[in-house]
Amino acid sequence: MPDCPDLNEQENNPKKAELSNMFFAEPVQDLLFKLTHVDVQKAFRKRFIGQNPDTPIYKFMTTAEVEKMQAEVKLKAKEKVQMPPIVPLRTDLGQVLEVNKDIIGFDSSKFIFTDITFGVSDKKRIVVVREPNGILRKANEDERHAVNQIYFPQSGRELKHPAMFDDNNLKPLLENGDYEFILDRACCQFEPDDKNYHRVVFSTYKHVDESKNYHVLESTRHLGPLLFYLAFNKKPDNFVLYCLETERFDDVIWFIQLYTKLNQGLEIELDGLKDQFKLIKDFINTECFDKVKLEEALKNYTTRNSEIASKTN
Amino acid sequence: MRAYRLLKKLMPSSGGGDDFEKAKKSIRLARYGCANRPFYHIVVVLQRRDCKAHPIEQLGTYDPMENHNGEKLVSFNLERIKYWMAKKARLTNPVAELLGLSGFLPIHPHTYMTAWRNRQKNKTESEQSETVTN
Repeated sequence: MPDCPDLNEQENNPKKAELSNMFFAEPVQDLLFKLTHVDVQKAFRKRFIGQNPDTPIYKFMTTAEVEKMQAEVKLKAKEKVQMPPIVPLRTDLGQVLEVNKDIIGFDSSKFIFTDITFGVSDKKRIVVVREPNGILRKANEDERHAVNQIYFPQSGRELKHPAMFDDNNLKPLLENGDYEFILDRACCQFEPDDKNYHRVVFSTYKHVDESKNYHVLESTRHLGPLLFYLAFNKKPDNFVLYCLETERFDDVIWFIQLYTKLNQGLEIELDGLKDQFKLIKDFINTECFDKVKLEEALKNYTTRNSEIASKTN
Repeated sequence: MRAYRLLKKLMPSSGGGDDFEKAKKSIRLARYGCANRPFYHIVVVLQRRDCKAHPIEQLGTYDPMENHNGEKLVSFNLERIKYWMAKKARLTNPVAELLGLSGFLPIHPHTYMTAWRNRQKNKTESEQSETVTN
């Protein structure tokens, strides 16, 4: 079987390669993590996943010990909300490797050949298909998924994609607001560079954005990719409005930083400390679509805060 | 002797059979599955042993029946196949044909023969049906 080339051939498509690098860039990851607002209570909450919950343990501890434990738990929580990446679609599939007209008629069905050599990852495994018309080609996404799941099954992933990921069935789920369930299951079922993954996840993100249900995904692993999607596709309006309405001033600043980093280059640093209000105003004027509403929200926010400040003084 | 036989039975089905350094080996299909449902293991065994003998190693599988998508699934452990080919293990025709179709080896002459025969057969059948309709 001819060797599959390494998976770095996104060079032909510079814009998409940029996308994948951007998600993994350290400043972007930091900002996304900050925006997630990891809450230990929510990260380790009870979940109904068909397993018996652990019995809680009660201990007497000194203050120092408790603090140490809390620090450890925070680290664990950070690991737990590690974000599923947003990467460009895989492009190196389905290429024709050989056309042999002399073997037409050797069989009536197509053959799928898989290399099950030990220690090769699902992504790098060689899978080729011989069509009945003599064409030898690399397997496409669906064939790869089936073959990987047959020879190297992963728990939680199914051979046949669940019916809930069909567009018609997905709609009622989105209306119900089961975002986390959808996203978790999609994350488990598909590879992140699969077109199905993009379809399901992006439609969910869109729905969350339109209905402003960001709080559902807060402190889960999916808020980061959601904000990345919004910033990358230039849909900042709803999130900024939501933050201003719910008194999340830091979030707005971080989101604006993220937005400029993604759209104007990773090196750009905003010295937001100088005049944060002006920064937000500029951002609203240049990048947002619903300027009137946002400016009103900003004004409301400032008046409210000045009132509180005057009261405390 | 009895203990020795018992020990042999405990070996894994995917390998562990007798392997003598200088004995000839062959890579062949061993029929598993059940009545009316063939399923083949691609195994390397001593050439003089019978086809169901305990294999030295299993190198892959071949499912000759179409699945619900109309595909026939074949798997190879190419790394080990290369190893055994380097040790001069003989390939039987069906295995060589599969390896040829996969592009790992050149296409086996037998594949060309079956393809040509099938094409001839189809041609005569279609001609006959034409004459019948006429």
